[in-house]
This record gives sequence, C-alpha cells and structure tokens, in this order.
Amino acid sequence: MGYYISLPVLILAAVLQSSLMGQLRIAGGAPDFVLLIVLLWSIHAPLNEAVFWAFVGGIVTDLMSIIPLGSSVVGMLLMIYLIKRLSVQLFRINIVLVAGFVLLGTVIQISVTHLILAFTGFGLLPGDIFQYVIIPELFYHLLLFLPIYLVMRGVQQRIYPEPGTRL
Amino acid sequence: MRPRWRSNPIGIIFISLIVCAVLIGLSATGILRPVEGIAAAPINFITGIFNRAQLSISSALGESADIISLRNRIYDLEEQLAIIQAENIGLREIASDYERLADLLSYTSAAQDEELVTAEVIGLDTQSSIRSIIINQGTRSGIEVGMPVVTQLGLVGRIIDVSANAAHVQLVTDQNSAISGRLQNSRAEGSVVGRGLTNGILEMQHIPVDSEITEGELVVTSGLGGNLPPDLVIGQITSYRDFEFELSQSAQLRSLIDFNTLEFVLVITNFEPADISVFDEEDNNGQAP
Repeated sequence: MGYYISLPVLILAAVLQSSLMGQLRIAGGAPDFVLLIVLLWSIHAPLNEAVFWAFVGGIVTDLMSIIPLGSSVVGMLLMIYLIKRLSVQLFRINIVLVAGFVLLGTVIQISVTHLILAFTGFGLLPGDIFQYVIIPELFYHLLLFLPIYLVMRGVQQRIYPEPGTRL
Repeated sequence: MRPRWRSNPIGIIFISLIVCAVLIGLSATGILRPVEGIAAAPINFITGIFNRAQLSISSALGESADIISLRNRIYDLEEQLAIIQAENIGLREIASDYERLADLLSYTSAAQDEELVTAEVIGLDTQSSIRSIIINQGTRSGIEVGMPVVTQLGLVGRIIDVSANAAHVQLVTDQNSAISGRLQNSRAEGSVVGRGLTNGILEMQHIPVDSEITEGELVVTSGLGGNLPPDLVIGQITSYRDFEFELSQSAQLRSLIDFNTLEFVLVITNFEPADISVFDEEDNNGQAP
C-alpha cells in the first residue's frame, strides 16, 4: 500500500514546491517538501519501500528542475541508509531523534545535490550554499517536520497495523 | 528464495546508487530528454493549474477593497513608465546608432522583425538555489535552447532546456547567468551576473574604470558574444562601487521584472545564438603541436 500512495503524495508535494517556491523563499532558501516527506516516511517504512519513495520523489523533483534526472535520488538514498543504520541501534525513535534525522538528511541532500550540480556546470560557492541554501532550508524543515511527521505516522499506522522499523 | 542482495541493505542501496549514476549520466548527455519530456508533461499540466490558482489566491489575499484601485493604478503607471523607458531606450539607441552610422556610407539597418512565441509560466525550479522557470511551450512551438526570453519590461532569461511541450528558462538573476551588458548613457560595457541567491539583484562587473555611471541609468544587452540580441533592457542601476585601487567598476542592478509573479513571457524564436565554439576548436587545433 505504501508503494501506491507514494506517487500522488510526492507529485502533489513537488507541484506545491514548484508553485509556491517564489512565495516561500527566505534569504534565498525554500522548503523541500519532497525531501521532508521521503525522509519522514522512511523512518518507519521498510527499506525497499523507502528506496522506492526516494526514487519516486527524486525523479519527480528532477523532472521539474534543470538538474539531471536522478540527482536528487542519490542524496535521499544516502539519507535513508544512514537513518536505517542508526535506527536499528536505537531502542525507540522519539521526536528529538526525528529532528536530528531531518537536520542530517537536509544537509546530506543539499550537499550531494550541489556536488552533482557543480559537475554539470551549475556549481555555487560552498559558503553561499551554506548561508543561502542550507541554513534557510534547515529553518523551514525544523518548522514543518512535526506536523508532516504526525500525518505520515498516522497514515503508516493505518497501513501497517504493527508499527516498527523493518530493515 | 529471495536473491541475496535483496535482503542486504547495503546491496539494495548500492544497486540503487548505480541505477542513479546511470540515470544521471544518460540525462546529462541528453539521451533521456524525450522520455523526460513525456514524463514531465502531466506534472507540468498539474503545476500550471496550481500556479494559476496560487497567483490568483495570493493576489486576492494581498489586496483589500480600499487599496485595490490605488494599487492597480500604481501598477498601471509603473508598467507604462517601464514601457515608455523601454521605448525611450529603443529610440535613443536608434538615434545614437543613426548618428554613428550616418557617418559611414555603408549604413545598413540593424533592425529586424522579431518573431515571438507567447508562453505561460507554469512553475519554478524545485531546487531553491536555481533561479529558473518552466514555461508551457517547447520544441513543437519552435523553441530551441539558447533563445532569449523577454517581457515588455525587458530580458527574463534564456532557454536552457527544452522538451516537446515545455522549456526551462534560466533567469538573468540565476547565480550562473552571465550576460554582456552595456550602460545606456556612457555605452560602457560589462558583464551582468545574477545574484538571485544572495540578494535577489543583478551585478554589472568589469565596467571600465573611466566610465561614468549614474544611478537610475538603464543597462541593456550589448549583443557581444552573440548569445543575445542587443538592446534588450536588463535592469536599472541602483548603486555602484568605484574604488581607486580597482581596475574596474561594478554596479548593482534591479530588474524591472518581478520574477516571482511572472505569468506570461515571450520567446524570441528567430534569434539564433552565434556558435563561437568553432573558433575555440580552431584555436586548439592551431595550438596543437
């Protein structure tokens, strides 16, 4: 079931991101709804499903951008791998840990995407990326992650009667 | 029995990363462009609907009944002023061109009729660090990579990627955008680079140190390099920096266009960017031992 709902949810997120980008910019940066949704879904989803969400989310994002197809998926995959590795070593996942995953995932995603952008001729200075992309995006993600996480968690608990991280 | 890699997290991630690398490689070389165009078509359609709704809602929320007429009046006047300024530039350019060229017996008219395709803006780039817009016209309308995109207020940017029914326009404010510009009064030339990420404005660099710059002066495209037609309005000088110890001057520019509320743009389809790469190849061949 988790596979089927990924497409409408992530397309809607990407469309909102594209439509609202101009209005949501703070100091150059804007929230990445697709990244946030994939990240928060992946925390409690099985690995295969999380990877599927990363592919769908990344490709939908890249289709609406000038960056090469698949660029956004790489960061999401690395992020999912780290989340899964850390999750199996923890007794339970609390909200502070989720916030930590959001911080880590955002930094990984932006770093990897801009590394690929640099190879394709759209590189930016590392200082500019930190100041005008990472900092505003972290601010937005820390502001938005809780309501989105609660919604995602609610949907997952309906889909999976026995919640828990499966690796 | 499941294959071994399917139960191994590292194996799954590793294979996925290889798939990504192949995708990126194919996409960067343009092989996937037709597939990307087909896949993006329904998403662009939905984005267009959302974008229109968003623009309508934001304009409706932002305007109370009392100020709506005043605001519209200001917009009209600003628009008229900008159009008049643009026309004024065109006339001044023609006049100054005429003065120079009248001295030459071999005068030929530089004016040419522009063929324009109107396109609707259906979305912005999903990467916050990239300043580009998506328009709803593509190769089927004759649009190609490198074509200039304008509004009646001036230059918007250049086409950098195109599919059958959509195209990506790199805005002049993008950090990676660089355009040859010319000051309207002093006719000094420089390079106009985007500063959209850092402060949302443009910067004109490498202006000769002996050139006079005035605040409010308009900057137009110079046509140098052959990437853009000359005399398109890029922006207006808001401030400039002139240090004695520097070899050139730089100036801050403000575009007359509000890129966040763009709804329609015009693509100049009969302009073909000059391909100067042949000279590079010749140079390389010439330098080769």
